[in-house]
Amino acid sequence: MRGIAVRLLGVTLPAVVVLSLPASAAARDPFASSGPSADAWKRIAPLIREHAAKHTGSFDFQPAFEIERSDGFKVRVAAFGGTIGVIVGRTGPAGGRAVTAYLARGTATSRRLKASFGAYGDLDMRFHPSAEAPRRGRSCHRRKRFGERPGTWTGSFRFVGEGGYISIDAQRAAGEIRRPRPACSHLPAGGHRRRRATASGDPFSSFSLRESFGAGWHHGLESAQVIGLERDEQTLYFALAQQALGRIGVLRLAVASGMGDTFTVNDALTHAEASPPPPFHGTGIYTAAPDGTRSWLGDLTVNFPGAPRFPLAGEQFEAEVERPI
Amino acid sequence: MTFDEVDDPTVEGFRRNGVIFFLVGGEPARCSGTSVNAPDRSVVFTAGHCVFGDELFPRWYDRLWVFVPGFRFGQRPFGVFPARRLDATKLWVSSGSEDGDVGAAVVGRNERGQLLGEAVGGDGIAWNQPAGQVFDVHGYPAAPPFDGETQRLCSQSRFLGHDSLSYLMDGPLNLAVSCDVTGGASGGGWTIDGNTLNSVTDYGYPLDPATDYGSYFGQEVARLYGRVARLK
Repeated sequence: MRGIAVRLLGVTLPAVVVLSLPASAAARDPFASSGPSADAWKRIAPLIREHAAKHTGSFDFQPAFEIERSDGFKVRVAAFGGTIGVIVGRTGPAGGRAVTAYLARGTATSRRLKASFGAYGDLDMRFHPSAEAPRRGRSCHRRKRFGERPGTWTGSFRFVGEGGYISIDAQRAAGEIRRPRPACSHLPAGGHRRRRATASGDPFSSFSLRESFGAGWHHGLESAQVIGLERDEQTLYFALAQQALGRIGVLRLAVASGMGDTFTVNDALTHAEASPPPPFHGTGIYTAAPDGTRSWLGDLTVNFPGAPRFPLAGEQFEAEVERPI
Repeated sequence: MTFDEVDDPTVEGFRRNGVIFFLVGGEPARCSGTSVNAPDRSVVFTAGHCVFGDELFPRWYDRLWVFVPGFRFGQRPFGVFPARRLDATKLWVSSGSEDGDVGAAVVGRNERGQLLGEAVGGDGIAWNQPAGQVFDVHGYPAAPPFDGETQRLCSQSRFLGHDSLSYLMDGPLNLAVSCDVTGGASGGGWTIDGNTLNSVTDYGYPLDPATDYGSYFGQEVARLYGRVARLK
């Protein structure tokens, strides 16, 4: 998620990506960024990936634990610097995934997690390392460059999601403290960055973008965006929503992959329709009129944890549809 | 809240705000800044990304960096103050965190031989204040619909809250207010209680030009001020 804050100075981006990103207010004006092309996407993708890798590798330690659920939700509590997140996720049968992260500033040490989530609940847990030896990967690749000391968190964790969709009252949970391995400290923060950039398994390295769309709105501290990127015979769909609730930040993210026929565009780029698979529902319809006005309407929604049927189309959305030349 | 034009940027309360011109990779760029009280009477505060690039361009913008207080339609009523030294929060320089996007410059004398503080005075500066302030947001937006020729003010803009993405960055949570900034307004001062600087414009979202985001002034900013204020 950190990659979303990539600065845009001097970088040409597809407009669908620009829609989703904050822009600096310096006068080499990122607001004017343009140039919808696959090349542009190829330029920004490594930057986003590198930025994310840099920051996910920058912590001294990361305490975390998970709560076992029988209702299909997976709940993970983790600290990112001074921020503690309660992350509620759900994976659908077709692989689509939706996550809601409730974020608050609190106390995060290698022995304690403490934060208040306002009306949602609070957390005060202490870590008790197990006698089990710390887990270490054999290489410095990705997660293996961290050492994990498993243990048990005990204390109090109470949390109730919007409308009571999830309710947690836990005194004990299995978890870990993760630390970067000293043996991997010679690497840049992104780990095997150069090798990863050309690895065939990298979802961005062979990214051959065809058609794409982006639609969104942002008002004050709330926003919603939906993006579709057609690649080979598939379309990757992303939805992101932000909300501020007092001293709590809420981020919602959904990802799904659909077949090529879930996103159609006419030759003139004046009409497009997207019907992503779950956790999305319905259809978003793009129309570009001869006078330049564009609309993104329809009944497209996404099922975020705590925000079912979250609207992803309507008159408040600004939209772009692109095809590389 | 609209970014209204300031009729006369040379009067008390506005003359300490100005335009910053500099080069990024040989290309001209501009930001906004504020003269701040300091023993050497030569300190300008602005955004971190107006003095040092982010992870894409990690270098100091020390080529032809100048501050022009009270700028209006190309006029330089108090002269031009070239930077002698640029600095930024360690948070900005080390991680590019938006939550630490604050920079400063120690400037030399203008062409009349005056120190900045002698020419226009300086705002006070405060840190570790409650986030819920009412701000006067100053700046020189240059991207449309503005042209960068005049100083602008969003008067008495209330704190709205924190950007959700701010929770994922290092540093204190940033601040949001209503103000329709565009490119060029970066680094513009947010003042409280008259003329006390308490934040600077950092970024906005293309889909929401009506909201402006600035960094919270905490200990990192206090340390930055301590460094630039003691330089001779």
